[in-house]
Amino acid sequence: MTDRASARAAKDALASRFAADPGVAAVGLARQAADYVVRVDLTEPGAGARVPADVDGVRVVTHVIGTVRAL
Amino acid sequence: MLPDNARELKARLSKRLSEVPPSSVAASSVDGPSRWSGVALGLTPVARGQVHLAIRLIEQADADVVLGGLDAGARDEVDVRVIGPVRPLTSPTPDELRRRGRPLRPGASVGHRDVTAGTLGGFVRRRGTEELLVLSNNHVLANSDAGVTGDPVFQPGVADGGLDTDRIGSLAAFIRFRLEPGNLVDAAVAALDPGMTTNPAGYPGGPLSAVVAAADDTDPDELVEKVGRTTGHTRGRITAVEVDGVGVQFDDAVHTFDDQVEIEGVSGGFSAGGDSGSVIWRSRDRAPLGLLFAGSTTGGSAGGGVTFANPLATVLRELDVEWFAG
Repeated sequence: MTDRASARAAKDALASRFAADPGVAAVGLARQAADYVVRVDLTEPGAGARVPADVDGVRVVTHVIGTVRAL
Repeated sequence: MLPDNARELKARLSKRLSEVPPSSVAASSVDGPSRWSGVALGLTPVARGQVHLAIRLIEQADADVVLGGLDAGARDEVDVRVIGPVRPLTSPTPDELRRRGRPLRPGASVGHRDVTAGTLGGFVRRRGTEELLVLSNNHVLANSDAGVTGDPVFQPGVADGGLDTDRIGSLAAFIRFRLEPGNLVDAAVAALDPGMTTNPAGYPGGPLSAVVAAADDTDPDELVEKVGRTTGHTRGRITAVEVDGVGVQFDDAVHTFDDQVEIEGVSGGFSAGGDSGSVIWRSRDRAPLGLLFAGSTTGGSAGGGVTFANPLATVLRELDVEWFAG
């Protein structure tokens, strides 16, 4: 089982890695059953190929959300 | 009493009351003691296999009329409470929220003089003071850093017909955007003009909790709600927390935010343009938890895009104000 602290460490690593990647819209923590996972939001599907499936044993999931705008 | 006996008593009392039409005024009014203003009947459990007849009254004065039909033994086995008028838990429609409305209520259209329109999220106040401030976004009340303290704020916003005569107050404070990454909030407050009336408890379903959810007490999968100027009252689910690197396109610049909350609608979109400034609350305990400010047009399980919010606890800390639930 992955707890929030472990997932947070993986998230921080991924957020730094993709900070300048225009294909990545955001990186956060999500839940899958009892596990915390890292959720990577993508601006376009092709960017998913650059995102690893896990970081230090923490699962990484991707979702395409497009561009984020102020509402 | 046994449930079957209670049901029989309930039916007898219901029949008797149906023969005495309710009055639009209290039983003690000029219509005399034989009329009543409204009653609801049911069963309430008191022990295993035992119930009392539940009688719910609009006014205390109705009790004489309602209880007058019961014998002394039955009166010992009723649970009588005065609950006041019962109103449907309706939510305001977007059309209503876009109109001028006084007293001011959460969800209403609002905006800086030079901004189209956003949403009045709720009310806060500075510590040790009584004056309420309107809470919304910087890009709604302060025109994305272009405004200055004292600028007029309208309800409804300009896009909804707001004019100088719809002024409700003025920009009081806002958190400036940083050009470098690491923004935490898109937040501002407006002071109200003298005599402006407010309804801080006017959220769908009643007031929110006086206790704001801590930023680290927000979990993925929690169910949440909001009321906003464009899409009205909607329900959603938190899809991610502690979200970093959220690049948000504003009119003239992209600003990047950390430690945000991400939400998707449970049926369609959770928000749309003009909902910015809405306060988001947790459904299970009505704890306010977020200030809505951005969103995408794609993504989310229902395909309606995802919404981003600043943790409300962070907003209050940055503005140095406290939440006012009403």
